[in-house]
Order: sequence, then structure tokens, then C-alpha cells
Amino acid sequence: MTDLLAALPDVVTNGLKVGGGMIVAVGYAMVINMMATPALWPWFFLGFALAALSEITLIGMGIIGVVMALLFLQVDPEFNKTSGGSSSSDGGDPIDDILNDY
Amino acid sequence: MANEIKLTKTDRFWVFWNSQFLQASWNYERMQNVGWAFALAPALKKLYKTKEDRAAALKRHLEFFNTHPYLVAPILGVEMSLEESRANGAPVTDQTIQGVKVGMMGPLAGVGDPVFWATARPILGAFTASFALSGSWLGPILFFVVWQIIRMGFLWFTQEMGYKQGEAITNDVSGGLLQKITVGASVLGMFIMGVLVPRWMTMNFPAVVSNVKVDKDAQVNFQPVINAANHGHLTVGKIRAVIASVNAGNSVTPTKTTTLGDIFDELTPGLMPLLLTLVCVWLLRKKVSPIVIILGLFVVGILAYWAGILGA
Repeated sequence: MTDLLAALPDVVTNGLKVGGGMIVAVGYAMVINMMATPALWPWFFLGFALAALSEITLIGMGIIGVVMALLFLQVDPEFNKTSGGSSSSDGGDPIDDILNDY
Repeated sequence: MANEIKLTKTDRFWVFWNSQFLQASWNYERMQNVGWAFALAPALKKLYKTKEDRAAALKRHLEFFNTHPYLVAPILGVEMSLEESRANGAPVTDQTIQGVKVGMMGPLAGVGDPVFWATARPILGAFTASFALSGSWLGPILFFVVWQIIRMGFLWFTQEMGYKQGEAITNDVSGGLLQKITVGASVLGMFIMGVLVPRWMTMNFPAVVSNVKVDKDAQVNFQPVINAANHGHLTVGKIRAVIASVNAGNSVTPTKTTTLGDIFDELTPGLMPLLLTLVCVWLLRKKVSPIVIILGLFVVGILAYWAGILGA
């Protein structure tokens, strides 16, 4: 077995090393496919841009991610349906009310 | 509610025990995924009774996973409570389970290294090494025993902590909290996946694109230092002049080499890993088997290395 491995040319062994470094992309892609919805893609690219262009550590990224998830929950209309008034057209937003009265 | 399945302390103990083998079967594609599924297996076996349910649960936990081998414990705890409520009929979706996992694994991986490898272990090592230096056989033994106590204690207690926290979330009867966790975890999970692409994947492009001769004025002039050194009257001032010249951005070499990687980095660092990930996402959606993609990537790796485009 060792002889067999030694007999492989360098191009093959190093090429396999290069390929080995890339196949993690398949693992990432499967996780992404499991989670992704059109509404969630912007978060992926925001995370990418922050990680690629800054030196923020993973812990810092975790804090940013949690903060943004919490902020998103506050503004997500899904969870704010009955927060203001009793009917859907009469929300808590004053500008919305003005537009409705117009 | 009478026939609700609960994970007992014994079940949780076996998950803790198995979690010590997290890094066994580590692989390039999904890293610690097999170890993770193995750790969770005793709990899944207890929660799901039919063969189909068990298979589905294991499959769900064989997705990509990677974190610090100690900080895995709180994630296991939370995931156990999520699976428990799912088995009891709560609307815990695959997205919730996956989102919580990914959202926690990235940041916790960042916590583990500085805390354990860079702080706790050196301190304990220095302490016990002083025993060994004074000739006591207690040094190495103490190091081993105390480290195991720290390690196993941390694994068990943070796993319990995660489990209790998870239960508090899933026991919220109105279900509003769980729904919020689902959305929040998906946001966090996708965000962290975006972060991990450039941080945990590197591709080298050593191919030389251009070799430009640097103008004499833009080069660091080493001549005064060389002359002075050869004649034995080198002064601090001459060395300072060279360092100042380097700091001013002058080139150290007579030619400026630009590689393909430099160009990609100028566009955006991590651009190629991002594109590769997106291509994989697209191929998977086109129902291309992951095995085919992996074999294809090996072929691409060998060809690109042979052509000098990609480097190890």
C-alpha cells in the first residue's frame, strides 16, 4: 500500500490535496440548501462580506449575528400582526394611518 | 401528555460519553458530522421508535458540522431538547435544528481555542511542569488527571446547561417563542454560513500573471548599507533609512510579481470559495449527486494543480 502511494506522481498527490481542500464546499452547499429561502439569502451575503473584508473574530461575528437576528424579529411583520390596533389596516404606524385616511 | 418521551439523565450521559469521540471519522467534506451524529445517536434512539424515524433523524444530523471539541457540549444539549420536543409533536422544523446548530458552532469554535488551548492548558502545563522539574513524578500524572476533570466536567455541565435552556424555550406553551427561535436561528445560521465560507476555506492561486520591473525610484536602495557593511562602518542611520524606505511602500525586489490569487484578493478576499460554494449549491439543486461533485472536484484539483493554477 505504501509502495503504491509512493508510486503516485506528485501531480496526483498534490492535486488530490487541492481537491480535498475544495470539497468542504459541498458540505457547506448542503447545509445552505437545507436552510435557504429567498428571504434568507441576503444574510448569507452580509456574513460573507463582513468576514471577507474585516478582521472581526468568529465570536464578534456571533454577536453581530445574534443582534441582527433579534432586530429582525422585532421588525418582521410575521410577529407584529396584532401589536398595534385591532384590525390589520389600523397598525401602529402613524404614516400608515394617514395614508389609509387619504 | 402521559406518554411524552423524556430524555433521562442516563440518556444524556451516553450522549456526553459519545461526544468525546467527536473528531473520530473527521472528513474533508463534512468534518465532524459523523462524530456529531454518533454523539447524538443514543438520544435519537430513545426518542424515535420506528426504523424510518431513526434513519431520518440520523440523516438530519449527518450534515456538515465543525466546532471546538469541547464547546460541542452546549450545542448537543440544545439540540437534544429540540429533538425531544420534535419527537413529542412540537413543530420543530429541520431549519430550526440546522439553524441553531450552525449558528452556535461557528462562534463557539472561536471561543474554544483561546480559552482552552491558549489559556487553560498552558497554565495547567506550567503549574505541573514545575512539579516535574523539581523531580516529582506527580507532575505528569497531575497534568493528565486535572485536565481530564476540566475536560469532562466542562463537557457534562455545559451539555446539561444547554439542555435545560433548550427545554425552557420549547416548553413555552404558546409556541410563539419557538416560532421566533426558528426564524432567528435561520437568520443567524445563514449569516454564519456566509462568514465561514471565506474563513474556513482557502484556495491558493499561485499562477504568475505578470512580472513587472519596478522603477529604480520605487525600489529600496540597499547599496549604502552593503557598502558600509563591507567596509566596516555600518551606522544605525543607514539601517533606519532602509527600514523607512520599506515602510514607505517601496519594493524590496527588483520585479513586482502579481499572481492570480493577488488579483482575486483585490476583487474580494474569499471570492473564489464563495463562487465554488454557489456552484455546488446550484449543482445540488440540479439534482447532481454530491459524490459526483466530490469526484469532479478531485479531477478539477489535479488538472488545476497540473496546470499551475491552483496550489496546495
